[in-house]
Amino acid sequence: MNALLDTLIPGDDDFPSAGSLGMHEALLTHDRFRTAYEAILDLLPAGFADLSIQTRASHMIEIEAREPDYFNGLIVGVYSLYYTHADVTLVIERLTGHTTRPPQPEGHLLEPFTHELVAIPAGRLSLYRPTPEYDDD
Amino acid sequence: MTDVVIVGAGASGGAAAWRLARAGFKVTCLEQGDWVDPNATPSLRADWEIARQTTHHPNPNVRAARQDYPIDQTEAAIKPFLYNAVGGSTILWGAHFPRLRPSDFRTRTLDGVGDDWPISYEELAPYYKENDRMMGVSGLAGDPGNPPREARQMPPVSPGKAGVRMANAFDRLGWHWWPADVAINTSIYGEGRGVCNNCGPCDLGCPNGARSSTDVSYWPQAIKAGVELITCARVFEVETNSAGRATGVVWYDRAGQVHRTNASVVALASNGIGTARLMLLSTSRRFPNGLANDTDLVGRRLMLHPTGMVTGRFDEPMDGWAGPFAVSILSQEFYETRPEHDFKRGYQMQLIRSDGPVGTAVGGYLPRVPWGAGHHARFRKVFGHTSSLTITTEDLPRPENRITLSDTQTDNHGIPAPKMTYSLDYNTRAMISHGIARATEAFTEAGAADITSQSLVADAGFHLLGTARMGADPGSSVTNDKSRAHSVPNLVILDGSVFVTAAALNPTSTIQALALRAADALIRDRSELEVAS
Repeated sequence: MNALLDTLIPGDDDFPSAGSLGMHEALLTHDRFRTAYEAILDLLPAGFADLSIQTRASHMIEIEAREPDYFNGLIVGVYSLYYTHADVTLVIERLTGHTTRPPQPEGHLLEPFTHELVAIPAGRLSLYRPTPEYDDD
Repeated sequence: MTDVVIVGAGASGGAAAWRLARAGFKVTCLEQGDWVDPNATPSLRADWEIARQTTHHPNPNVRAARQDYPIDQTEAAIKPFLYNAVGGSTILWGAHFPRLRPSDFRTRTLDGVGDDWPISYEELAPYYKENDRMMGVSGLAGDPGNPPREARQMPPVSPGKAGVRMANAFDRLGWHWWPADVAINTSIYGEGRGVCNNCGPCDLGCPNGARSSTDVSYWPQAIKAGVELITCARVFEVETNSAGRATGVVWYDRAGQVHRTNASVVALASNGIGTARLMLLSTSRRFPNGLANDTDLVGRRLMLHPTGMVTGRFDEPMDGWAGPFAVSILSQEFYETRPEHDFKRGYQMQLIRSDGPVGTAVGGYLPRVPWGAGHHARFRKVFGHTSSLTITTEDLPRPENRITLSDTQTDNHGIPAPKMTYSLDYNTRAMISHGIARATEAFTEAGAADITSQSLVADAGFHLLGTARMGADPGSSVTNDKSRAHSVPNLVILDGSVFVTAAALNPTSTIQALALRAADALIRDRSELEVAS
């Protein structure tokens, strides 16, 4: 079933293909993603893996239109597992600096707010509208 | 027997419980969720983004946790976004903490639309102030867009690279902008709470306790003051006597056993969906259409703040995964009604940082990265290079937007689920269109390219308002100005259900200020309250 996964996320010079990462098993054993994956697998024509990449993509476009909910579930599952795979996060770190570690507990460094930034808006006139005085009598 | 039973331990329930217990009331709070362990947050794990798509998804229908109830969303253009736990939806919120403007309380008088509130901004201001002290707010005094007020407890969060770019663009356009008021610690504040380390996904929980949620702000204080908080307790009926006074509530515990808690006062704090559901479930001979529903207004006038979104891609990296995801700077340039607009009232633009790898690929702020041959090229282009402006619109109340009981769905106790029916009207769509054009202009001015927009963010039903509105006239409102039901004087509604109009900004600080005000009114009126004999 790597043909399906590689049709969705093919590899390139930096990134591995989805099928090369063992994601077939991961999808089949994930309690949130299995149902959509199995539903789409059932819709693939016989000999799907032997088709050209263009023909496989055409089939996927047709399935996406026919079963949008399952297809959406499949994409969420594939993208979620792919972009949290260690091999992929290492590539992202190398290309962008986005760290492979989780957000916590270290967090990220950011320049703090500086008051100079608000010099112009602080000088503007009031923007809120006056309202009639409240009268509860 | 307790003095006050509160249903729901979220933003408003926590605030009111604290206030009432400190005044000597015996308070019991029933919460259908449980405590959330901050040290179990997915943001401590490498697969944190998978949790966002599954176990920590904001839509309870997707998350489907044991403590959740399903919400029939088949006729709703905007999907629900809430959490059930001690802390309620503050467990997954972005912690934006603006106040309503004075004009928000007078839309009928000023603009001929919606309805005026029975209270004013000035009356609510002391409660906003007290609530800010309890929650802890970072921000900056001096905003020309709002009435003068005291210094915040802490300085603003970092705007990040994109925030600086957009602030400069707003300045060149001559538009209002200001650092957002945020319930996030930028320095030490509050008991046992830490400082924000800019990790990003506030919605997954905050192990530092830097992002305020009522489980770390109000609840420790409320429990010290003597509140009895019972978790995993799902209330399914408010009981009344023949005179129409509330006598208490009936609920399931975590083992499925039924309990009854009798109380002098019943206070509902289960959000604009859950409270309406419970009132509609609580039928009796006196209230055949649901509790306090003589006017058929319970569940109606649902307001959700329809949200559009514009995203700009910058050539240089913005590192938008760093910093609290939902908060940075905002613009209220187009907040008020203007004669040249083809809509009444207005909107707020709020800068959102960008997403992690999964969020970028799956889409949300941006369109989904397409599968197939061009996948990686597109991912490289957008990841870490974007920021977004949300267009949060005024959502004028309409009776056809409502909560009812579902005919087809039930929760895991067999109780009918709530059903959302919600659509957008012309005024709202015109506002969003205007906002998208202005936000596109701002991104263009900032030098962004590849600017995309969404005319409606469907997964944005996070502000649940208006389903039991307050008002002076019992014939056209559910509660009075003290948030007490006209027809059930010992029934208090503490959450956003009482909103008369929605304003065009995040409502939590107003919800909590109203809850504190309602609690103070109970304290003041204690000796003369009409309770069940």
